[in-house]
Amino acid sequence: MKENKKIDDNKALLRKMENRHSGVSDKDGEVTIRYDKYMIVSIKEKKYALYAEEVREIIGGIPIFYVPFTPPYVRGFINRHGEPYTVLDLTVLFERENLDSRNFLILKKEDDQLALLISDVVEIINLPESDLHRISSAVKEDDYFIGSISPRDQEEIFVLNLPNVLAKLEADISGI
Amino acid sequence: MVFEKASPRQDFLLISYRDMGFLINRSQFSASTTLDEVTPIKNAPPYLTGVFPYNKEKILLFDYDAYLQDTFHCRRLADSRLCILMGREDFSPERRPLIEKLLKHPSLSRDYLGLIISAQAEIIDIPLDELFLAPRNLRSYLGRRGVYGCRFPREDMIQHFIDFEITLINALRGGGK
Repeated sequence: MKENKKIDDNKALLRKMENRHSGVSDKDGEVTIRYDKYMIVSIKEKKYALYAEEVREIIGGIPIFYVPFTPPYVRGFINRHGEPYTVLDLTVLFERENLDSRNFLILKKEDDQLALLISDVVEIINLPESDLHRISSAVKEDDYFIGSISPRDQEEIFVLNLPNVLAKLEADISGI
Repeated sequence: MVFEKASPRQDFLLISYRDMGFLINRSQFSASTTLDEVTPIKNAPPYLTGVFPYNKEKILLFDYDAYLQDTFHCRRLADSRLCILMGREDFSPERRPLIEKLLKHPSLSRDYLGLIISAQAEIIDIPLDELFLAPRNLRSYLGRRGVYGCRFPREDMIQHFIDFEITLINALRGGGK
């Protein structure tokens, strides 16, 4: 007879129950918890998360070069190994203010060059997939966030919906 | 032994400003000259600021230096300026009629338009490997406005690769800034 492992932590128990309902289980009927790796960054005094797999590199201390004709949240180009990368400033998008920083996340894009202006990288954490509290079942086109996470049950951190941020840029410049 | 294939090179006019420069294909203009005896004109479209005598004709002047400073937020290195001459034939057939219309005034040369640029300018030849197109997310959008790409000769310096004709026509149509 198979011996059941006891779960002392109720949170883990609830997670296991939730996962069983979503049908995630291994061969033995044991639940396999999928984890997502998040990069938590600060932008001004606020924290945001994005999937770590969306980030190629973190760079800092380089100037931004102004590029005309672009929406205000495009702060310009940076020089990464001699190649121009478009810098997006989410503070302009969310708060209509420029972020005064020279730290950037180089985004992992197969055929494009994009960077996000950030204040700092806070930490990289692994969280069970079920810890993401989705805003709604269907993410709308103008949602800049997929949902939120609360690592260590502390503050709520919104997870950026990068494809929708990029779709906004595309829509904005197609209209100008 | 390994032989690397040399990158093709191209002649560009480089106009330098503080922390920024502009590269313009040398084939986009006919000649350059010093700026003397400029007569200002009033009530003209944006950046058409004056005329000056050249080969017994009066050449209409477009202040490209002011246009670059306004549009790219750059600052001049020195006050001296010179003039680039663009002949009618330097413009593409689809844009030539606009220039011909602009130069139709009887007192003006019908063959040339003068562009005032900063005197911090030189012809340089650059390996094309050093020039990068704008990132794909903005490439066609900026390209339609005459900004094709750039080069970073130093960590703190960008040189935009721009199109004389497209930027000029856009500015004349009021889409400069």
